[in-house]
Amino acid sequence: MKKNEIERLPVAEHRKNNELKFRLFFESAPEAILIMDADTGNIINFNNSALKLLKYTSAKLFKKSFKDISAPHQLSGISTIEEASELFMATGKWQKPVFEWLVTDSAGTDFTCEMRFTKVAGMENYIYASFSNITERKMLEAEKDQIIAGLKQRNKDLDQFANLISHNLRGPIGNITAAAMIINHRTLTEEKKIDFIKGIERSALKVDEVLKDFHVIMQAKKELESQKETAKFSDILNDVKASLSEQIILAKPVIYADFSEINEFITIKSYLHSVFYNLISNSIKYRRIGIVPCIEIKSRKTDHKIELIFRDNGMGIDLKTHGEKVFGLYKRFHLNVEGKGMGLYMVKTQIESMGGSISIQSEVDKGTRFKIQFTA
Amino acid sequence: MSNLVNFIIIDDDAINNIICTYTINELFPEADIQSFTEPEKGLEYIQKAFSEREYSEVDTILLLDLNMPTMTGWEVLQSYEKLSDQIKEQIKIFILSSSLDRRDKERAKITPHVIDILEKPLSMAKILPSLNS
Repeated sequence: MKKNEIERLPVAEHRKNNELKFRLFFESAPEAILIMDADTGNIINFNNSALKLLKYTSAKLFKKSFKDISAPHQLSGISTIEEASELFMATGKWQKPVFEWLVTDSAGTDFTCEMRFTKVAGMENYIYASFSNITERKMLEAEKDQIIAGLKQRNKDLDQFANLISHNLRGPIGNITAAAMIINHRTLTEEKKIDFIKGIERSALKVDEVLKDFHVIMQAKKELESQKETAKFSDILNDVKASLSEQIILAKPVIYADFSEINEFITIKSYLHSVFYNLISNSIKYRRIGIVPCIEIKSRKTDHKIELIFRDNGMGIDLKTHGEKVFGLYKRFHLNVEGKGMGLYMVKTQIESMGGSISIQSEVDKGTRFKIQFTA
Repeated sequence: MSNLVNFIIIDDDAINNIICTYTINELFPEADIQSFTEPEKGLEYIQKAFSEREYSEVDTILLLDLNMPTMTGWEVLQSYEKLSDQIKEQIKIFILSSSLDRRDKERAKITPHVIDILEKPLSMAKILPSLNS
């Protein structure tokens, strides 16, 4: 007998010791843990993390049920009661559901948690819920999704751009091939032969031009973080006026600028210069004959945005027929004025590289108005 | 059959038009070939020349490019659709483009008056079967 008692004593002590260890682990676990009645959802026990996360005192949390610490409706829009009863039932059948749950704390603030339910053999009347706040993770995920959507769009744009460039290269290269074959395999008069050779020359120059355009456009599609500097609208306008002096002397436009609301902007200066240059030279190029060309440039500052407005009284563009194509590459809208259809495409590309957007309003024989917006 | 077919070419690429003219003339040395680098002018010509003309035995083939700066080929076809039936009965349209994508092919199939969509360079073999004589 004695021997037995001696042997038993340390075993009981050992078990007690173990229980204490588990209890300590339960209480200080980083995850919030609740033990609930499997039938009513009443909270029977909890750890410190649960108290902290739900912002309850121990005495108050003992009086609450699973429903009380949940928002009335879940992320799916289904009511908490409906969804909780399904989860309790599934756990009752020994499933171990892992789910996102909208939890509400004592102050009534809702937040998203990742939650797991478990049942333990021998303790079938209880459900163990462990959970942690994943609001921040969800926000990062949403941010990531937004970045991915942006990248997808950019990829699509680049794809379209690659198609367009390859199409514009195939044209002149097809001409070169066809003309060379004709010269090689047909009997031609000297005059005809020269025609085809000239055609080859012009097509080769065209290929070169498309490739140069391609280079310029790729350059403008890059977002050059390091080259950002303070740009003064009034300085840029003066520079552009100087480089357009020939056209200005010829067309004598009235250029009215108002940068009183805001005259400075930190950005890629060369891009902004190019935007001013293209829009102003377009206004001069597509002026209406017989009236004094007027160009009005105005900057505005709103809460989160910096706006630039360019307005002219020129020929205008019929947006009903050309709407989507106004900013398209190699698109032109006026038959009798020279141009290769790159100006507005470059304007849009560069504004987007600066993180802004551009929109157009226009009416034939009235004028055109561009609105450029940057986030301040 | 040499003088029983006429051609209209609408393509902003002038060199392509020279090559097409040569290719057509090899087979039809006497064909009347009108080429336009500006689609607006091409449409204008069609409207003027064909509204005065009575229906004749002479086929007219329109070779139409798709990718042009001021008006796409599809836009030309939209304007063409509005012309009188008397004009449209006299013209057979072939789209001629430097590269074809699947969507263009599908669209050509369902566009009225378009007989076929061809890739450059122009091959007369693809056009001959549609001629009357």
